[in-house]
Amino acid sequence: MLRVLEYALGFIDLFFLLYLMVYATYLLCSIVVGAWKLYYSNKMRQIKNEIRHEFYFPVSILVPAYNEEVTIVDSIESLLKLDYKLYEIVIVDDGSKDHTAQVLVEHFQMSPVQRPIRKSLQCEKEKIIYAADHWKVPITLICKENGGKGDALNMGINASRYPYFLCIDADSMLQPDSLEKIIQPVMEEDHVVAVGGLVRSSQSLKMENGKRTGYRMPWNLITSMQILEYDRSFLAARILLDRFNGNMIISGAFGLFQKDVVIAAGGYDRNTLGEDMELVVRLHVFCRNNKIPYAIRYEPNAICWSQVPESLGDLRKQRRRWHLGLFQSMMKHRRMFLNPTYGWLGMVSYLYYLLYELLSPFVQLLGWVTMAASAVVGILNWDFMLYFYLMYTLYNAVLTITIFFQRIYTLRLKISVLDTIKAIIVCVLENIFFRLFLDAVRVTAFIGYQRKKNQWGRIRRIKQNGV
Amino acid sequence: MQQSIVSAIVVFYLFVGAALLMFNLFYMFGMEWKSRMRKRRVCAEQQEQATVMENSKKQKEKAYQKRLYQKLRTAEGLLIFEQALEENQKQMPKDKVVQYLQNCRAAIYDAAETYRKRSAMERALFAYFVSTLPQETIPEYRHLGQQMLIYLEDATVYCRENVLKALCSLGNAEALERALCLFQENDWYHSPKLLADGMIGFCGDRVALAKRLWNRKWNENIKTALIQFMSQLPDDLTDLVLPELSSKYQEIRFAAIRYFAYHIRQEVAPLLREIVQREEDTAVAAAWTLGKYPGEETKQTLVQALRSRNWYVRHNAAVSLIQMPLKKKEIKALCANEDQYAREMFIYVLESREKKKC
Repeated sequence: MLRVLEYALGFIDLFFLLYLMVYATYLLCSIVVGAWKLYYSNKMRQIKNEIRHEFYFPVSILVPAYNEEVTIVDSIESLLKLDYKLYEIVIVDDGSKDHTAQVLVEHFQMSPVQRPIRKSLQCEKEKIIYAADHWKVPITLICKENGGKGDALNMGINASRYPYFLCIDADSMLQPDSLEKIIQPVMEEDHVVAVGGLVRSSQSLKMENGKRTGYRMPWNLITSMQILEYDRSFLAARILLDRFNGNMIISGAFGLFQKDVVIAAGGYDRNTLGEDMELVVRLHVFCRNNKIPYAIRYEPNAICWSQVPESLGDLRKQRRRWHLGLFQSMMKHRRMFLNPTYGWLGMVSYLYYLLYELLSPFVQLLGWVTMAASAVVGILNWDFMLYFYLMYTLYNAVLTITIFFQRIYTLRLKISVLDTIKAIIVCVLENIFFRLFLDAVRVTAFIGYQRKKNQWGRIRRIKQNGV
Repeated sequence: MQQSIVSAIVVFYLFVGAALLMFNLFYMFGMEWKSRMRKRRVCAEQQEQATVMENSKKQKEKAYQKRLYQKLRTAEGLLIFEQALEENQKQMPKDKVVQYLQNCRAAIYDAAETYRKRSAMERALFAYFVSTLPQETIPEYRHLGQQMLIYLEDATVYCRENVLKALCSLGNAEALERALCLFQENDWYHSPKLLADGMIGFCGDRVALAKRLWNRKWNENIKTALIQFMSQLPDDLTDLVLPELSSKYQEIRFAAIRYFAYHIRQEVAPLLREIVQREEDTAVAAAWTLGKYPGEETKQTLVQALRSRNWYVRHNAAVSLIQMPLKKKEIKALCANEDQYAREMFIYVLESREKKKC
């Protein structure tokens, strides 16, 4: 009996080792590809290999909001400062319980209008519509019955006038050139139906009177760990997946879409927590099933600043929501799994998200249990385990800090010595503690799933710059 | 055995990671150093250019031309030269700059030949440089158009874009036509928007360019771009565009309908009304263009179009209707339209106009 148990544990140990090694290889590939792409695009920009015109395509910016009275004015102010000629701003207040609509109406001097809205996509009924035409671009505010973020975005799409729409979170801020940058892949290539941008933590910004004056690593460990985590995701993994049109996520905080394709595909799913990921996966499925030539691109030069949670409680809520959203999307489109019809997407991207995003916390839990069992049975090689753990942590830390510097030079940021030291320390801590915490959140994410599956994720917001 | 393999792999990965980290650090500091150096070199080049601009004899000296060529043949040198020239264009008298560039002709032509064998990225840079040359020097550089065409082989979208800009800036219609032919023959995609914008910037007789290009058979993309370009010209080219209203390509039909919103030709009105009445796919654009063709028949068509199933047709019909001289009685009737969708749309558009007036 003991012998069988030893074999079983040995087999699981081997699986666990392989699992980690495959992930390490993926991480290395993504960082090498990311480094090459960023180096190359940096060089291209330096020697005038870019498309610069006075006018591009007109774009509707959709801002779904729910209880965002603290940050919404700053966000809309930042949108009014974009270096872009033709766009409109459509804010959808999804039945907020605070004064989101009121602060907007007062600040932007909006007045009610009787605007008919074409209901191409299903969404809850509008209560009142406000508009302001005396700003740089038209601003529309639609107050509607509560229906969730996907529902609010569908309303925004219905009300938008232009052929492309950009969705951003109500707490996000764009750089003046963000819109110009995110539209570039559409100008460069035919059949681009969606483009994702780079999302960064706004807590790492130094701001004065609404203007970016510098960059810093915050003292808050939770925030700074997320800054590094975002870098790893946006400056490595997404660039790799983009090479073969395999990105399955465009962050809801910053994504550009071709409106008619999104409408044809059915718009945002109103019953999922991860409506951003679900839409992207559905666009892939829709275009492939209907033999529509398409590309979903990622543009790391288009930057959006978004607030990340500052407390463990808020972070737990956010990650729980993300994990459930991932689960819902993966389940809904399970036909893609190892399905050659979907090419690299089904064979690589889906497999990666399944094994290393959705199931990863469970695999790691299994790893810990097996390790404990092996120790009890007496087959655990303590020396090797400790050596492997240290080397793996060091490896992850080296890669993370590599990406950190990659970002510094590509975005031409100035960073102090103190912030660099902070970043190095946080890299190590992130690999030891932060990942464990996230795994724990993901493992417990399904508790209360049925009850909370259609709610807006709420985190505490802080005022950006006192506009 | 298993453990030693894993250890070896982890150590190897760690080594690659560390190498990448070192590369990034070197690159980061190298860039900082390079940027400082470039600033200094641009200043030095600017001063040298300014001195040479004052001395026309020196400009023609073989030694100077040779040195200039040596600078221009590297991407870094070309960038520095271009930035220094940009500064001098702001500070020096225009005739001096023009004379200087005219005298630098040999070095620039030699550099153009050298860049022909370079990567697409560097070719794009040289094409960009050509596109920034002042208009007064263009007669000296018009023949660069032929070189620019060679740059299009194995080019990136940026290289193609910069070559188009250079050809438009050189005002070389023949080379531009040939470039578009190459785009078509090789199925290179270039957004119609970029093509049309590029042609607007053509430094030469734009109407002659439009007529010249019109004589060729183009694919949907280029034809659409051409009509968009012609829409921006003040001259009447309606005779040419008229047959395109019945093109088999939807995008061309859209562009042609929009063209007739900028260039009025009354014979088009019945055709536009027919498109709206039949609710064809281009009815959205036709309803909008009809606003520029007032008349009783058009009014009737637009009132009917207010009931269209298509939201955008209803919207554009309402926008066009309020551009027309409507009697109070007619406005009242439209505001009391029995079709709820038509009524709502008309009232909304009417209110928006009133607000804008306020």
